[in-house]
Amino acid sequence: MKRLLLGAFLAMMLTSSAALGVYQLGDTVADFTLNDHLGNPVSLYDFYGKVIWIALWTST
Amino acid sequence: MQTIFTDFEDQDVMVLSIGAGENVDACAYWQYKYQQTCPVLADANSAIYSQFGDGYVPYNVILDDTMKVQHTNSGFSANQIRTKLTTYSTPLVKILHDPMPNTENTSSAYTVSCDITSGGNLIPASLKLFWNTNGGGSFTQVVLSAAGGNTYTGSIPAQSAGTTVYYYLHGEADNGKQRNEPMDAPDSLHSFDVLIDTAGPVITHEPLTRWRADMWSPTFVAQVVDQIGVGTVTMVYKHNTCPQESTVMTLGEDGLYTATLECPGNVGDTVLYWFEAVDTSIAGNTSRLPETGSYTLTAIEPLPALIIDLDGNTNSGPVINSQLQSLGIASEYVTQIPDFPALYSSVWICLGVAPNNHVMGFIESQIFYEYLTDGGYVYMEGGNCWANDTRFPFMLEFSIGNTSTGSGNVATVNGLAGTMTDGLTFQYTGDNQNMDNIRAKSGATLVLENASPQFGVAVAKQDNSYKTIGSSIELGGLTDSSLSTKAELLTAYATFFDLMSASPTPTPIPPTPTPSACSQLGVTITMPSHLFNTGDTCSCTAEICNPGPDTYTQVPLFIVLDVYGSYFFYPSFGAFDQTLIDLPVGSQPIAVLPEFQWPAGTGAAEQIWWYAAMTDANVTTLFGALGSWEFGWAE
Repeated sequence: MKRLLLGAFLAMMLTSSAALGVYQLGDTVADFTLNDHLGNPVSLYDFYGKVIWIALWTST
Repeated sequence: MQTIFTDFEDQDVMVLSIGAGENVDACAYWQYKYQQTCPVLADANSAIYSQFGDGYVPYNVILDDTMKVQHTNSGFSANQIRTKLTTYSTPLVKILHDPMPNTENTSSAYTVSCDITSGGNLIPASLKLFWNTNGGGSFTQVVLSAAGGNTYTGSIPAQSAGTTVYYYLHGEADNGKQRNEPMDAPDSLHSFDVLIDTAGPVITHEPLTRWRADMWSPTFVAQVVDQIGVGTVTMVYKHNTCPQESTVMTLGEDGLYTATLECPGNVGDTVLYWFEAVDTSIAGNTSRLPETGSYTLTAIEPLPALIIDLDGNTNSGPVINSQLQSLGIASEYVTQIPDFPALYSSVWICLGVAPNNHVMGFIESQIFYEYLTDGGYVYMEGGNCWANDTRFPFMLEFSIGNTSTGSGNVATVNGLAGTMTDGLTFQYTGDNQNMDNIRAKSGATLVLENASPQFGVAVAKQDNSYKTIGSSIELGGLTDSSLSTKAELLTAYATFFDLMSASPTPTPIPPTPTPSACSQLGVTITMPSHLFNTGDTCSCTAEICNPGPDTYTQVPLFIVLDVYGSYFFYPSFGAFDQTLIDLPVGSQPIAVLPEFQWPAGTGAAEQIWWYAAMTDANVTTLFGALGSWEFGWAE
């Protein structure tokens, strides 16, 4: 049950965030930093000059 | 995703695998599950997704080399992603370059080499090396020369020692694409130092002090760095049953040097070891760690039991600990995961019951997974870890299947006929909320069940190399009665884990006599006199005192003879040595020097000191009082 509630909440959160998308085709994306699976910070602009595929996923 | 990344990795394509609404632990599991080698990033509050998302996840965004959004879509089509990546990566200018190392060369130019390719036609005059010696904004420009194939080179004049040279590379193509290396140059620059290296490599190492004899041989790991370069790294070791040997350490892809011993390890064996390294400088500088003496590693029997109580309510772990000790099984109790669970032959994990439970994360679970699959024995209890929480590979090893999240309906718990718990019956009064109902999968055995409604609450499994007991109830919540006691259940569990027939404590070094009472924890060291003359009877005795009530095992003991700043360590009286002792309650003597008659012809000396002390297992803190004794001799 907890997992179902969590999944529903996340789905709701993701759906509501759809209206918040700010980048359109042709826009330049600003740098951001996230922690990787080992807890180390990784920045988008560490890879400036490469073609970047941002693959967003969720486990639920 | 991983296949695409592998195929495009050398084509200046990067994949960022971002978990929308996922934390670091979830990303660690994702990385493990799909064996991803690209960065797997935690977008815990979906802040990044919200900047891109206009559809459902999975969601893809492709940025070109200038960070412009070129493509977005929901879902996943490998062909579509491959096509887009090919489209945007093909025309790029690409520069491959291995950064220049530090150098001692002060007399001839430094050649900078790189490979440059492009989807268009490279403009030769645009292929340049930019360098300076201050890291500032003004650079000397050198047009690169073609050196065959895609290789181009440029030269930087020789510099004097003490100079740092900063540089970057640049290339353009007739399709308008251009590229710096480093990509964000000149904000970031490559650099190398021109220097005369007079220092040896820097060696760092986390000393190994104990290793299970039944899991011999240990791997020794050292990190070694040098200004110019590391040449050879050697580990020298002296095993008490083998002559001194040395082995050249192997450099791994992780940048660490490793070595293993060729000598066997029996309980009580000691290994004195140290590291030596030489750099690749003109002088061939050397270094040693430790600078003098050696580290000491002792082969030990596995410590019988470690209780790791991770939930907020400590209502079961202490019960297990005290009950095991009552059964004569030496156990230790901690509330955090230790660095070396492998020292223990069994680990007892308490996760508690909701809402006071600890949800085991993937990273934590991997520590236990490695311990278990290396031949460990694990008992784990938790009301919610078998069905409600995510089950990682570690949990799957328990072979607990067909689980469901239950309710607070555990009452009478019975053993199962024909199993280790045959005839046991308890009332359960512990935490009792959403208790997972569990069953044994093939290869495992149900050993405890709730009477009504009937469902399993404990499962045991014996694999070829390891054993598990998984329980959804807290052992501390079982009530002793005239019918059954927790001690009986733990006797069954401990016997299953081979703890009841094993010696409960490691063999002490050396064997000690029956202890007598004493009052202060620590060591005293004494001799018959403070001044010895020819013919006097001389000896030295250390007295180890543990007033109780606790007992200890494998405590490092150091006895040092200080002769005007030169130190000699008991028992070998070499540059560094130690012993591990067990501390039953009471006092025990150790003969440091047997009786002998002070010889003639020794001259005179004074202010010679003995020091004796115990420390914690990591040899970082004194354990009890330190003893000392000053003495001298005369003729």
